[in-house]
Amino acid sequence: MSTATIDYAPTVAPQSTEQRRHRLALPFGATGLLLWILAIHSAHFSHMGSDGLISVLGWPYFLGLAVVIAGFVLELTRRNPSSWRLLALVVIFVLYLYGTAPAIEPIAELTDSWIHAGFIQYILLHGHPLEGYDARFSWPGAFSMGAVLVKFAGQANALGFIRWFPMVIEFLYLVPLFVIVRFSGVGRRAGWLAIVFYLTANWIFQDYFSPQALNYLFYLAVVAGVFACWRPARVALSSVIPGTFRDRITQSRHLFTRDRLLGREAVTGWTRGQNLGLFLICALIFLAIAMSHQLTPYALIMALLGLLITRRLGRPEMVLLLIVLAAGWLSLGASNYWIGHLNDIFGSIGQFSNKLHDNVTGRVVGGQTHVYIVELRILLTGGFLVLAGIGFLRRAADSRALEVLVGAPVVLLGVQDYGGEGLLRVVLFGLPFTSLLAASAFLPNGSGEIRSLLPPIAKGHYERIFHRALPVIIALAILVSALATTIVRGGNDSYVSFSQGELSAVNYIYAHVKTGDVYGVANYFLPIGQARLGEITEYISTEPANFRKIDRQFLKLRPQYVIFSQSQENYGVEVIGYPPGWQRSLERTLLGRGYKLVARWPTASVLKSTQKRAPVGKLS
Amino acid sequence: MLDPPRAPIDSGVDDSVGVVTTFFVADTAALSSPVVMVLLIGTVVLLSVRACLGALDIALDRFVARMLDASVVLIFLFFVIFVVLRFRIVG
Repeated sequence: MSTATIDYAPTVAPQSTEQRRHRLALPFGATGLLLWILAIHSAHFSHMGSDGLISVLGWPYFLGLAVVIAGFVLELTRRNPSSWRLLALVVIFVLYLYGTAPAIEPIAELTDSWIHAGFIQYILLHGHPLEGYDARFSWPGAFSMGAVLVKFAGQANALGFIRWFPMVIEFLYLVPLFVIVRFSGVGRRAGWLAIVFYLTANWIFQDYFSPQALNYLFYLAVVAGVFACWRPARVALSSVIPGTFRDRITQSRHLFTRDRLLGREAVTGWTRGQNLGLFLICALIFLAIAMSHQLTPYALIMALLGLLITRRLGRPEMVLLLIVLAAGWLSLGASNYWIGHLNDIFGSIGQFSNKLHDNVTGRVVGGQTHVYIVELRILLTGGFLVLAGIGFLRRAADSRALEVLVGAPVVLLGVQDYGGEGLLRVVLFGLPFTSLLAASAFLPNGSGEIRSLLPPIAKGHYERIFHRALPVIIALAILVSALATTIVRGGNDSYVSFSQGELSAVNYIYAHVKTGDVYGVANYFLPIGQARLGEITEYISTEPANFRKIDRQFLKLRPQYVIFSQSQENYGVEVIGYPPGWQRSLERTLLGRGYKLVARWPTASVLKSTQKRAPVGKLS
Repeated sequence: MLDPPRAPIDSGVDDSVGVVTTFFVADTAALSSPVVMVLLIGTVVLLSVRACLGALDIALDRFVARMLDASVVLIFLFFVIFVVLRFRIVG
């Protein structure tokens, strides 16, 4: 496969400048690393404001990020860039973008991380999932694997894994990503740029301690294996070179020929044993994915179908096998989930406009800061899609696999009901390929069976200006993307990250509440769910528009304990629109009506009902 | 003297059709799980055989290859039909 890239290798700087660049990349990386450490030490979690993580980051973070980007671009634009130096700089990018929050925040963020640790704890103690407790337990594969790992590591629970999990899993994603870029058909420089684009555009935060994070690794591993094993066979697309879009559309009928659907238009250079090994490993991964996550199997089915019709998959059995395993698990293993409410799964098939509202306009709500963060996310994603579109127009290729892999997950939006997070997953599944196309906007592949749709920049004055400006343009693109991701990825941290006091309050509850008791919280943003699963019940208020209704709910249901905390307060103010101090007001009301304060920390307090028995109430 | 046989008491409800349907549905619901399981295993085995033969470049006799393909298609279709039926009946 040709990987020729239109780059500025012929116009790179003279030898002396080359040598200077050679010496600069690693010092820039080391300076960036030192500045990151300084940024971590000078950040104070307790000073976090409504802007989230960025509100506690000082100048060393931003200067260091700029220095690392400069080092990366200097190395990337050398005549013969060193893979080891680029790798070292990529590792520093991961530290900056995915290691900063765990390093600054005292405990793991996101309530779901804690809840998943609780699921693992239950399996560890009882040897099986708790049936009928939560839909996620109908896909218990990842939790079971987590329980095995916890036991293997000699730990009492999974809490030790959750804080640094996002950074560790992002490092693991790099392995299949390197394989994907190596065999994707883009040039070497574009491949490295795509890796950095992926890292600086992944604001989606699905890499927290969760089955989807693990399954995303599986997804990337399967696509990487397929990319590495098969490449497109040359086929006679047409006797004439397509001159118009009509010609190109006419050619697309070749997508569905029998030979292509049977995988005969993909060729492999691997041995028989390697081929068999790949199939068996993929089959094992399919089995794991089918019983671990609701959405990933279907995303992978779409990706494999896309690879089949773009001549990058030679074994169509893999698609059918995954369909059978995913549908089989849904039908048999996850029947607890769908019996009685089948409409939840299939009820909204095809309702694109409703889903678009849930996923886009429905999320642009809340206070000024929250709206700004959500709008910036939409802008960042849109910007990358525009760049990917330019890459699509500029690049020549042997296969349109990347373009299809960007578009394939969109089908999921029409056929699943994943609430307001569906579009996030669609963007995430396409992100590695969007990044490759976006990198191709700057460094397009120059040769391939499929010609580029835009003519190359004509040689001459403008070409020279463009090539000289290209390093600066690339550096600016990375900088803007990295800054935007720093802002939006940590934009919710004022309520999704937790203090030690909040954890102490939750632990106090777990230590004092009796089996069968109920404790109440005003909203979901606390490190809850990691212990005593199925023994006690948490009552989460329905988040009414008027916060005064929360104390009415508590007084009606009378949970034995109530927790108030800083993260809950921040969520109420920034997303629902409650006035600042709303929790203190609720606390005062409850203290006068049958509750007493039993514990307080700077960021949390626990109230206990003084009535011996709680009245029977319907919990929602 | 024996009493003459009594006519059956008319409950006012003709439940014969309902009983038959209930039995049919209950039976199908109970059966659907093992049937789907068997079809699942069958499909996985046939697909694996086909993929392994292809990966190892083992050429089958043309008739055998066609029979294998036909079996894969047939069992896959049965699998899909029974999964859908299970959703409709149990769900």
